[in-house]
Amino acid sequence: MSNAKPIRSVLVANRGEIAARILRTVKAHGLRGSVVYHAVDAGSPALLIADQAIEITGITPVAAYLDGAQIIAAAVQAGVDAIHPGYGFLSENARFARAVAAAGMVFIGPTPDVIDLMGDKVTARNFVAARGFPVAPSAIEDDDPATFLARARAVGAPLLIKPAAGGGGKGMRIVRDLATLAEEIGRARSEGQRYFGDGRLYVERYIERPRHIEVQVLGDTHGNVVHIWERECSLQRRFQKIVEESPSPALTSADRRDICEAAAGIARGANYVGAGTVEFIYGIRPDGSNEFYFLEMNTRLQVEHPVTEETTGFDLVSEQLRIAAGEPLGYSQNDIVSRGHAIELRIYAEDATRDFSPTTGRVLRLRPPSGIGVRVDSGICQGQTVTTAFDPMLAKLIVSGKDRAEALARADAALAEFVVLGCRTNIEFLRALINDDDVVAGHMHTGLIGEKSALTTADLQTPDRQRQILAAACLSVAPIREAACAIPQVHAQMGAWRN
Amino acid sequence: MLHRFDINGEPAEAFLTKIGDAWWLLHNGESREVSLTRDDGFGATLSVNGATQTVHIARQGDTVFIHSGGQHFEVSYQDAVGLYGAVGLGRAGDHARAPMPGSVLSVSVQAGQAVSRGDVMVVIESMKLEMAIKADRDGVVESVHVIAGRTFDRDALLVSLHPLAEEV
Repeated sequence: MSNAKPIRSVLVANRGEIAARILRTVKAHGLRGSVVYHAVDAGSPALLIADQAIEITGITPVAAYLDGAQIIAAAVQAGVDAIHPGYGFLSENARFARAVAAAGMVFIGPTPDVIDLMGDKVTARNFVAARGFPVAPSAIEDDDPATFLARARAVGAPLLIKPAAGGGGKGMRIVRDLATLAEEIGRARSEGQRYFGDGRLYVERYIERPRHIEVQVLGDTHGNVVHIWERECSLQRRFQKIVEESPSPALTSADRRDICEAAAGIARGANYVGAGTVEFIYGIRPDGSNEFYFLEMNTRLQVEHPVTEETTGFDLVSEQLRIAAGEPLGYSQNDIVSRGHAIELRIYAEDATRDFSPTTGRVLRLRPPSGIGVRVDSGICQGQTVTTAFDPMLAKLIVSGKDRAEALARADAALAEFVVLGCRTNIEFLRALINDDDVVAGHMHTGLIGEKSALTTADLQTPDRQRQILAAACLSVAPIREAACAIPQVHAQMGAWRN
Repeated sequence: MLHRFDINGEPAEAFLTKIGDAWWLLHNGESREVSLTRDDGFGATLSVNGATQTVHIARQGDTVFIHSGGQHFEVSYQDAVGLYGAVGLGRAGDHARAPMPGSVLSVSVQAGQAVSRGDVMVVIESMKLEMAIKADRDGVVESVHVIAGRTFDRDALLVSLHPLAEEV
């Protein structure tokens, strides 16, 4: 949307690492940066960076960040010109985007109509198919609910059942045996109803050992749309990404051009404004040829956007701010060059040995790594308590190098250097993962982590290591030292140490 | 004093003792001289038989969090094995027990003898290291359950003191 009024101040309607990351760019632009926060986030990095922090409340901490009316009221009172929603929470809520505009402020993101279009997975899919871009063979319940089961059966096994209103992997089910189709549809429907308040479903062809490849796009208010190359996000646990990289090691340069141009074409078709991501599923057919299908479009900044920044030199939040202020992109597709390799590793408060269940605790010590090619976007400060109130992502480690091997080596060293004491994290798991032979070779797919149980059961306790740990534990606890029996010097002189 | 820990969910035991000014850790049948500098927020230096490394340590209650060699460990303190005189970790008992299997090198007290807190009563050898079993409180020896040369299992009774009269 064209905007005559200059943006002098921005409120970030988010928390954690992304609130801090956005505020840094807001301030680098010379703008005033504000942030809303719930009391449980007092002491988080965003509050240290913001010029102003406004407390919000809610029945739960999450409810506070989802309370659009409260956030808009806070923004109006603070007199801000624009609201950046970050990712998650209100970022893909068209009603919120409209309310922000109605209150006289700029919503930093695409138009509400595009959010609506892409927010409904079925209308998005139909929109993309109608413009000639590839979508997976599918059956949509809404087309004719009475024949849905028969049409789903006709898609053939294996297939994936998805909630029409879904996202984030919730409520998805893989069906390999069509005999269980009716039953699985029933389950998916009740999950969709529970998670999204919407039980409508669709099914689509499931690609075995698929890769998740997505493309960053940018559009301005003057009709210019470009892609900023791809990211591969195939390493997922429970359908959620944990390691992302750019470029994808899977693609030939021809594939890469095809998939990136398809993404730009889809964004152009939607008159897309702002930063967005077009996600594809990519697979190799039994005959060795490749196939890729449109998965969905995320009308916001992605968690994994930094790998694009590190390989292209773009500050995507800076581009969002310029676009929101009505500036033209000012560059063409040929100006956008991807160099080297970048990998993002999501540091989660979770226990990989217990099915990635969330962990909690006070962060007693936090020492992020640093050095060449190492960037840490952290959402926590030392002393903060990690609770189960939010998604358990604590920080993102982004490493880059001249090629993938160098980036992987830097990732390994940086993970080894990363100290988080007081709350168990997935750091060791990530290290094992990036040292896995298939990952090193670039042979990844979205089910890889589930197939490699050795990654989650790795025993760190060699006898030498256990001895070191026990020595450190015993010597660091005063009562244990005090309880140690001292051997009189006379016995020691007798030769206490015998072999 | 033998201590029981739980390292990332796995049980482990270690015995810490001091010989002169040096700390020794007995673990898994072997003894090593160990030392640790104070962690000032930038890490501490852990030395095991002269091999040093930087470790990060934070403690909360009975749990010690340790980062060592690129790995994180959560060490929760379980208990000191029923040992005579759990200094700082519980009320002094009346019975001195063996912290680990071993043999008796010498016995320096007899029944009826008065002892003061800290007096050496028995010297045992366990895991190739001698250690002195000391009285945890002042009292009178009721009975000595071992003689020099005797082997024993962990938790075996070594010396009993006359129980203290209940305070009224």
